[in-house]
Parts: sequence; structure tokens; C-alpha cells
Amino acid sequence: MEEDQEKYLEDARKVVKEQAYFMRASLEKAQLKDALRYSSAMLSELKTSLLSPRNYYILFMQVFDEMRILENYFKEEYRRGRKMPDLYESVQHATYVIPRLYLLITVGSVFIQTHEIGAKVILLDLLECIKAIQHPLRGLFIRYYFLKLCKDRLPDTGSEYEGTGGNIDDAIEIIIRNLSEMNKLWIRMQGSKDKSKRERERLDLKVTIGENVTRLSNLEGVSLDTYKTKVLPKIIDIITSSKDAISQTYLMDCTIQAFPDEYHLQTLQELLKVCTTQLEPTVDIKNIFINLMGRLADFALNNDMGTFNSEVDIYSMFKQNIDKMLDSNSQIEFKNLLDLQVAFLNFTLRCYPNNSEYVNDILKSCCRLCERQNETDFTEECQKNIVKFLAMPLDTMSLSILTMNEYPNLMKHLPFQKRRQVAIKICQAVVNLNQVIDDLKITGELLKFIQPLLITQNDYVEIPENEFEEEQQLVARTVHLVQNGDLAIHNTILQQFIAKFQQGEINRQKYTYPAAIFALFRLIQLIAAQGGPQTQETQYKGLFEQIRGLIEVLQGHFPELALKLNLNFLLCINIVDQAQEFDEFSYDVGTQIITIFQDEIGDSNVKVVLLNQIMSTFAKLNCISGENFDTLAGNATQQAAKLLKKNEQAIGVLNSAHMFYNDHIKNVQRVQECFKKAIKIANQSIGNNPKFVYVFIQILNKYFYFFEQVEFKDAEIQEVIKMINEKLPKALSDNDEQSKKIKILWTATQELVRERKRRSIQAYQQINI
Amino acid sequence: MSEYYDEEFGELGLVIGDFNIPQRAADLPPQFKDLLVPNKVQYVFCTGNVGNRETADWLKTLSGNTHFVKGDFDEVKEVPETKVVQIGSWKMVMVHGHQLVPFGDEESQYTFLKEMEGDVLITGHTGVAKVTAVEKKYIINPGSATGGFNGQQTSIPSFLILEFKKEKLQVFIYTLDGEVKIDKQELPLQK
Repeated sequence: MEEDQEKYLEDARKVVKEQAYFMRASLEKAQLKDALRYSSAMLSELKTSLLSPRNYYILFMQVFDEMRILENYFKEEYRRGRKMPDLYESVQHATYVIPRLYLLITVGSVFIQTHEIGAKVILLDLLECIKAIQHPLRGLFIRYYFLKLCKDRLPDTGSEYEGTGGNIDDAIEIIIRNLSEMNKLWIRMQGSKDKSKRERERLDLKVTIGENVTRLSNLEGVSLDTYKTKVLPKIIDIITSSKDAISQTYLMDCTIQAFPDEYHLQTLQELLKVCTTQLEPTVDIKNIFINLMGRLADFALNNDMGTFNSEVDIYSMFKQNIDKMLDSNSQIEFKNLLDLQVAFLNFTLRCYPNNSEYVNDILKSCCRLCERQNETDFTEECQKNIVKFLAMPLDTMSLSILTMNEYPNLMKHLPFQKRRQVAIKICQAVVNLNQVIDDLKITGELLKFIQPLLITQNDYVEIPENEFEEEQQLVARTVHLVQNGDLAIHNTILQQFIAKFQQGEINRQKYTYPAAIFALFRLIQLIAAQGGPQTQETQYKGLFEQIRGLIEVLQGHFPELALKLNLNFLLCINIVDQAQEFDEFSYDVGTQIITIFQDEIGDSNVKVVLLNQIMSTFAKLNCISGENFDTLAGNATQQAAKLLKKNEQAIGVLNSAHMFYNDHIKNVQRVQECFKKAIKIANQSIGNNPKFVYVFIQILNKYFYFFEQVEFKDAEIQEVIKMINEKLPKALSDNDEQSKKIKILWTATQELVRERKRRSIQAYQQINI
Repeated sequence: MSEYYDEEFGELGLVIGDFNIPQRAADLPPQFKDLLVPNKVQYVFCTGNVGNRETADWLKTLSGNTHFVKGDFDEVKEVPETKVVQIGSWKMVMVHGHQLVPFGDEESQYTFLKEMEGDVLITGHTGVAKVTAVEKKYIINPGSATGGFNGQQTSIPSFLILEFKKEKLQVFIYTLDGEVKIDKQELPLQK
């Protein structure tokens, strides 16, 4: 069949080309009679019943282009003095109806331009004549031809044809009649067989119908008033009387598209009423609504919102009609109604931002809708819409949406994965908007909504690890948004979060607990800044014990993390407890740190870095009493002596000196002990390995660090220098990576001494290296 | 490397770190987000403790040369503990700083820098922005980008912008205390 179509079209086009050629040749020789004969033959191809609508269209366009040449010739004829009535008459001699009518329309269009007769007379005459073509396809196209040729010859307001040629009412009348007839023909194309094929064919031709509407909208004389009183009612009439879904849908769309949004605003009630009550059930009303809402929202945002709001209550109009659709037991699918609700919500959010009442009302409608459905109705598609529904208001209204009582009702229709999605969107919105969480009630609601992230619910589904990490990190971020000038309330809100975190499992607590702990640190800082705890709930003791408990839970699975958190914990206590009220407590934390270090940390490289951190942190503390601190620091030093490699041991012990000499402590004796121990270890190791001299150089530098505050025995230092001088040559002999390191440090050390000698610092005067 | 650096305008570098998102902060302050957009700087030096993948990825979008070192709370495997980057006449050495004893101590930092034979030490961990000259070298610390807990009473969000010139380094210190403040320091190259 397809190949046949191609052949038919090919053949027809060939004839048209041929005849057109001869027609043009005749015109050049001014042989009108011949030209008319050839044009007739050409136009006869349009009598065909062989072509599909789409192919007929192609043929039509080819003929159309050729007819323009003839039209121009007619114009020339008139200028040369030929009488139009004569011409009008002579073309009617064409044998067949189709060619005759096409020629008539062509002459008619030129005739109108002469102004010899009123435009409306000719146009109405032509309309009468073309009634003769009742075949749907051919009739459609001849009317299309009529429209195209005469569209600029209408007696529009302000046009050259106004006056005796007619007025705007006539222009409207003519187009409406054409539209009405074309619509009827178009519908008749449907036939009774091959339904979907016919539908497709009809849709291929829809622009021919639409052109009528476009032409109407282009009429100068169609003001808002004219549109309202004369044009729209007639179009609606055509739409409603047709009872054909394709036609109704297309004509509604055309009308909405062609006419300005201001007009739609003023006729909205009318439009919506037609849509909801007078269209065929198979028409996709939701798309029409969505189209309208989209346009009106754009219009509202580009123009004065005041007009939008005050003149017409758009929201109510839409709401009433949408609710009507919801409630009418119509065959509209659940999915489509949801689409509609989503579009309506979007519209409302755009045009009435911050109106939470409207949003809650729409939520209520949506809930009502969902309640009516069976569980099986909630397909993937529908669920996606519900998620959209719940997430959309967040961007403009953020947390206040949580206070809407309908919100949770909607959530429960979703399966776990989707609830999780909504929860994530809520968290994201809150974080992205930098939203401050300062209200107890809203916190409660928020935690309810993000439950899918906080605990393992009944219908839990495993999530890939990286997604899980992202979601938990998102929850963790949320904690830091908690803020309230009244620290008691600040604390209570934090406690709500922590209570929920405690119900999550360790895989969540890995992320949530550290955030909660640092949030508590911050709270403690704020309490201190306010001059200390003002209420029972904000007493340090309770908060400290809570933090300790949280860290303990983490310790089982994440000892390294727990150790680092404890270090920060000590620093936090240090900020607020210079009076050492919590001395024993801090000492316990310190002991816990050493215990974890000793028993739970296996990797020796990790141990080295951690021990440095431990010592650095201890060195900053002023919240532990002298005796307790001495024990703690001593333990740390012991740990250093137990490190894996000898050089690590030596340096570790050396570093512990800092714990005993800093801003808070000046225990000279302990410092000297550290040095002695370090040297002892170093001496034990250097025997076999001259490169160990590196450690000695480090020890020497550490002497210089404390030089001006702590007194060391000259002899001790000279011993170290002697050792260095002894082993250095051998160590540098092979020029490898380590030698380079040693050389760099040694040069730096020499420079340091030189510099300090130059500055006449007493202690250095004796040093010779 | 060309013979002359245009003394009027040199390459820019962002020095930033200690975000600790989400452990200690929810997000970068919005005022900083507005300032830090892609293609404004040629280099990014991150002192560590980013805290999550998303923020690290974001840092990579800011320039074609983003350098990271590992902080004590970073759990990424591919990031080194220390890094050396040569920019024109400047040898930059990066380390987070939790590895040093005592941490935040000028002398231990200086010794470390000398051993690495660098001109400028880029380091963090203290949560306080600071630019110091020690002998002929410099130690610069961008502080914490988010102002998260740093073991001290207060903590202010901050970062640094460096302008690299042949004979000097221009340092712009951005801090957020209500509003964004910018301080300037000029560090001449001394070798």
C-alpha cells in the first residue's frame, strides 16, 4: 500500500508539473484561454481519491504554489483593463467542479481587490459555491484554499475593505462559517473503520482547521469585548456541538494558544465550565487545564500581580472546577487527576507564593483523591507525582509546610523508597535554604517526616552504600541548623534530634552521632559565653555525661573515631573548665583515650600520628589537676616508648616533653627526663645503623626548642653533638634519599645556631657545630 | 615558565580547608558561596578535613589545579599527607598540621617547612586564619571555611586568596563576622 501511495503521488506531481509548465508558457504568450485550460487540467489532479491525506496535502501545496502565478496574472489582467466580471464568468466554464471552484476562488480574491463590489458579497458567494464539495478531504482543502487566498481580503476594522464591503461582524461571520464547515468535514473523515489510522490522518491535517482560529485572532477588530461576546461563544458552539474528542481537544488548544492571556483571564469561568461539563469524556481535560495554568502563571509573573489577584479570583475558579472533576465519578484516570493536581499546585506556588492556606487546601483535595483509591492504583507514575507534590512547596515555603496537617496524610500512601525520597528532599531544602531550626513543634514534625532516614522502618529496602552515606550526611548537616537564643530551648531541640538518633542503628550513628556531639560542643561554648549554665537542663555535668555516652557507643565499632572525638571533647571541656571542677571526669576521658589507643588501634603508622595528636592535645589542657595530669602524660609517654620502630619511640618520647612544658605547665624535671629517655633509646639503636643520626639531630633541635626556658647540662648536649659529628660522615656516604634528608636537617640546624649566635642569644654562644 | 611575570597581575590561588561538613557544620556560609565560583582562580589548595565527597568535588570545579592534603577527619585513601607545589618562584608545601607536635606551633611548623625545603607552608587544623613570617619563610593558615568547632572559644569562617608574583606573594584574608571583611598582606620573596 505504501509503495502504491508513493507511485500515485509521483504520478500526480508529474502531471501537475507538466500542466503548470504549459500554463506558464501560455501566460507568457498572453493566451489566457489556453492557460485556463492547462490550469484546469492541473487542478483536476486534486479530484483524486487515491491519495492519503498527507500526500494530498503535499500535492495541494504544489498546486497552490503554481496557482499563485495564475493569480498574479489575473491581477495584471485587471490592470490591463480586463473586466473582472468577465473573468469571473469565464472561469466558470471549466468542466469539472473542483477546477472550476479553485479558479473561482482565485479570481474572486483578485476581484475583491478591485473594490468594484463589496468584499463580503464575493466572499459569501464563494462560501455558497464551495458548499458543493462534500467529500471530506477535498472539501477540507478547498476551504483551506479559500482561507489562504482571502485572508487578507476580509472587511476587518481599519482595513481597506471596511465600509460598503462589510465590517468586523461580517469578517467574523465568514471565518466562523468556514471553520464550522471545515470542522464538520474533518470529523466526517473519521469514518467507522480503521479508527487509529483515521485519527492519525486527521491529526496530520489539523493545521488547516487551526488556521481559521489564528485568522480570527489576527483580526484587528476583535477586541476583548468582541472576543467575549461574539467570537468565543461561536467557537464554543462549534466545539460543543461536534461531540468529537479530537476536534474538541484541538479547537480548545488552538483557542487558548491563539488569543492573548488577558482575554483568557476575563473569560476563564466560561472556558473552565466548558472543559469540565461540556466536552466528550475522552478529551484529556487535564492537558487543557495544565496548558491554561502554565500560560496564566507565566502571564502573572511577567505582569502586574495586582491585576491578577484583584480582578478575577483565578485560584478559586480553577479550584472549583478541578474539585468538580475530582468529585464527579467520571472516567478520568487517577494518574491524570494527580498530574492535574501537581500542575495546579505548581501554578498556585508560582502565582500565590507564601499562601499556605491555598497549599493546604490543595493538599486536602489530593488526600481526598488518594483515599478513594485502591492500593494497586498507586503505580510508579502516581507515586512520582505524590513525591513531586510533597517536595514542590519546600522550595518556596520550606519548613512551614510541615505544619500543614494534610502533609503526613499524603506521605502514608507511598512505599519506603518514595518516602525516603521525600525525606531527602525535605532535608535538602532545609539545608540549601540555610533554614534556622528554632521551634520545638516544627522540629517534631521535621523528625517525623525524615523518619525513613533515621530509623529502619518496616518496609525498609537496602540502599547502595554511597547513597546511604550521602543521605546520612544530609541528616547530619541538619543538626547544625539548630539555633535559638534561649539556650534551654536550643538544648531541648538538640535532644529531640539525639533521641531519634539513638533509635537509629550503628551504621547511621557513625554519621549522626559525631554531628550531634559537635553540636553539643557548640552549645557548651554558647553556654560559657553567656556566663555559664542558667537552667537545670543546661548544666555542664549532664551534657558532658551525655557526650561521653554517645562516644562510648561509637567506640565499639569505630575506635579511632571515638579516640579523636574524645580529644576534641577534652578541648571542649578545657574551654569551660579552667577551674578544674570536672577534673576527675576529664581525667577519665584522658584515660579512655590512652586505653583505646593501646587496645584498639592496630596499625602502627596510624598509631604514630594518633600519638602525636594525643600529646598535642594534652599539651593544651588546663582543666586537669597537677597529679592527674602527670599520670596521664606519663601514660602517653609510656605509649611512645612502646611504638613499633626505634626511631618512632625516640621521637615519640622526645615529643612528650611538650606535655610537660607549655603555657600551663613548666615541669622542667619531666622535660629533662624525656630527653634522657629519648637519648637512651637513640643510643641503643645507632650502633648498627649510622643513618639513625637523624634522630640525634632531631633531638638536638628539640634542645634548641626549649633552650631559652629549660636548663640542660652542657655535657649532655655536647654528647649529642659529638655523636652526630661521629656518625655523620658514614651516614652521608652513600647519598641516598635518607642521606639527603639528614643533610637538609643538619644544614638547617647549623643555620639556626649561626643565626641565634648572631643575635647574641646567650645560650648558643657555647655551641659549636 | 616565562621569564617575566607581569607584575601588575599574577595567577590566583584559593587556600581553604577545615570545612568538616557535616560533622561540625551544615554548609559553607552563603556569603562565601557567592564569592567562590569556578574559573576565578588558577589554583586551589585545600588544607584538609573537607568531611564529605560532595564538597571535595565542588572544590575540584573551582579550578583546573586543585590540591588536597589529608586532614585527621578525612577518610579518603587517595589523598596524601603532604604535598609540594611549585608555582613560579614559589615552592609551596602543604600539610594539614595535626601531624605536628605541638600543633599550631610556629617553630615545629618552621622546622617542617625547612626539612621540605619550601618557601611557604600552607597548613590548617587550628581553625584560625593566620599569616606569619619566620626567618625567610612564610606560614599561612586559611582557618576554617565554615567556622566549625576548633577547640577554642570562638571560631570565624575564613579563607585566603593568594596572588602569585615573581618577587612577592599578595595574601588576601577573607573573614566572615557578620559581614565579609578582607585584609591584605604582602610577602616579599626572600631566598
